Amino acid sequence: MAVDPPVLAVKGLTKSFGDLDVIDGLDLTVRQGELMAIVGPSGCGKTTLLRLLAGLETPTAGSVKVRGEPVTGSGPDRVLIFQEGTVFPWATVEENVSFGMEARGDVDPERVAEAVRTCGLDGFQDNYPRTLSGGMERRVALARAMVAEPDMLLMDEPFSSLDAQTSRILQNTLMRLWKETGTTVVLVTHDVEVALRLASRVMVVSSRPLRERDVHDLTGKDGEREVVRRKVLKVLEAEVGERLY
Amino acid sequence: MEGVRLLRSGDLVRHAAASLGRVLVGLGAGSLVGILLGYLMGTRPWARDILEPVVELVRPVPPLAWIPLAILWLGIGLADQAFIIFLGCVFPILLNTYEGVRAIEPRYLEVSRVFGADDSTTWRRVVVPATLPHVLTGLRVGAGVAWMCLVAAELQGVRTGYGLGYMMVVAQDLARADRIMVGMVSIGVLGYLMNRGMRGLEGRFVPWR
Repeated sequence: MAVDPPVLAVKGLTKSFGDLDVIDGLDLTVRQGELMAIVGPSGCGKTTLLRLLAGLETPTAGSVKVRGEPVTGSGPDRVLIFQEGTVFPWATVEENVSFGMEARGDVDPERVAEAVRTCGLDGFQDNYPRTLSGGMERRVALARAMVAEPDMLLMDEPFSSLDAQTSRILQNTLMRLWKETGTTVVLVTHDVEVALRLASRVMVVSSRPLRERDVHDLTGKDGEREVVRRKVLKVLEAEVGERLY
Repeated sequence: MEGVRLLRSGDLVRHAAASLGRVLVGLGAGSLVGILLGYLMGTRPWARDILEPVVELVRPVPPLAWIPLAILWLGIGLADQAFIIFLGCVFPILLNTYEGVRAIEPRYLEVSRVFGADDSTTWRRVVVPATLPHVLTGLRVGAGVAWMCLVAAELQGVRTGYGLGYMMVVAQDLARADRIMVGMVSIGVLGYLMNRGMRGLEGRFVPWR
C-alpha cells in the first residue's frame, strides 16, 4: 500500500543569520488534518520557523517539503497568519477578506461573505481596520486566510495580546473552522494552556537556537492532558530556568 | 473697485484663465513625470542609483534660475512658462512618491507574497493604496509651488498679453497699485480653491484615514 507523503516534512532544518543560530537541526512531520502546536519560550525562533515553512526565508541547511515537494518560495497552499498588524488599513473588512481569493485568481463574493460570517465579522464588512478592535483584526486576518483555502494554515502567536475572553472566543472560532474544513494547522505559541486546549499534537522546543525537546500526541487522550501539561511545563521550565506556573 | 471693473470687462477672467492654463500644463507634466519616476526610484534599485544623484543635483537650483535658459531655448510662450512650473513642482511630487514607496510596511508586501499574489495584484491592492496619501501630499505641495513659479515666469513677459503675473507687471509700469493687488488676491483665491480641490481628492481617495 502506497503511503501519501505527509503534508509537511521538515528534515534537519537549520537557519542562521550571520553568527546567530536561530534553528538547529529540527525534524518535524505534520500529517493531513492535524493541528500541530509548537510551544517554546519567547524569542526562541518560532517566528523564523514559520517564515521558513511559508517560504519567506530560505534554510541555511536541511529541507522543508510539502506533500513531498521541496518548498522553493511562498505559495497559496500554505498561508501564514502573522502575529499582528497585517490587515490592510486602506481596505474595508470585505476588501481585506477578498484579497485572500483575489491573489489566487477570481473572487467569489459568496465565499467571501461566508468567511466573513463564520469568522464573526457580519455587519462590519464596510468598516476600515482603524475602527476595529484587536480581536476583530485577528478575525479579518483569519477570514482572509480561510478564503484562500490553503492546505496548511501557519499561525504565529494567534492569541497573543488579546484579553482572556477575546482570546477564548477566537480559539473557539479557529477550532470550528479547523473541524469544518479539515485544514492542517501549524501554530506556534509560548502559551502552554492554549497549545494543550487546541492541539492534536504538541511539540516543545528549546530556547534559541530552536531544537526539539519533546513531542506529545493528544488525540483521543483527553484524560491525559493534565499529565502532558505537567511534562510540557517541566521541559519549558528547564529551558527558561524559572518556575512558570 | 478696480477688481469689479476688471471682472465686469471680462479681463480678469481672461488673465486668470491664461494663468490657470499654464499652471495646469506645468503641474500636469510635473505630476506625470514626478509620480512615474518616484515609483520607479522606489521600486527599482538601479533606477534609484541613477536618478537619486541627478535629482539631488538639480533640485537645489531654484526653478527661477532656469528662466534665462528656458527663454533662450524655448522662447517666450507656453513652453517656457510651463517648463518653469514643471521644474518647480516635479521635485516635491517625485520625492513624496518615492518616500511613500519606501515607507510601505514590508509586512504588507509579505502578506501579498504569502497569498501568492502576482505583481499586478500587489501593485493594485498594496503598493498604490499604501502610497496614495504620500502622492496626494506631493501633488498638493507641488500645486502650491506651481503658483509661485507661475508669477515669476509671467513676469518675463507673455505672448498672448494675458496672465495674472503679466497683468501685475504692466500695472507696475502704470503705477496702478490697485490692479497689482487685484492680481495678488486672484492668485491667492485660485491657489486656495486648488488646495481645497486637492483636499477633496484626499477625502475621496483616502477614506480610510
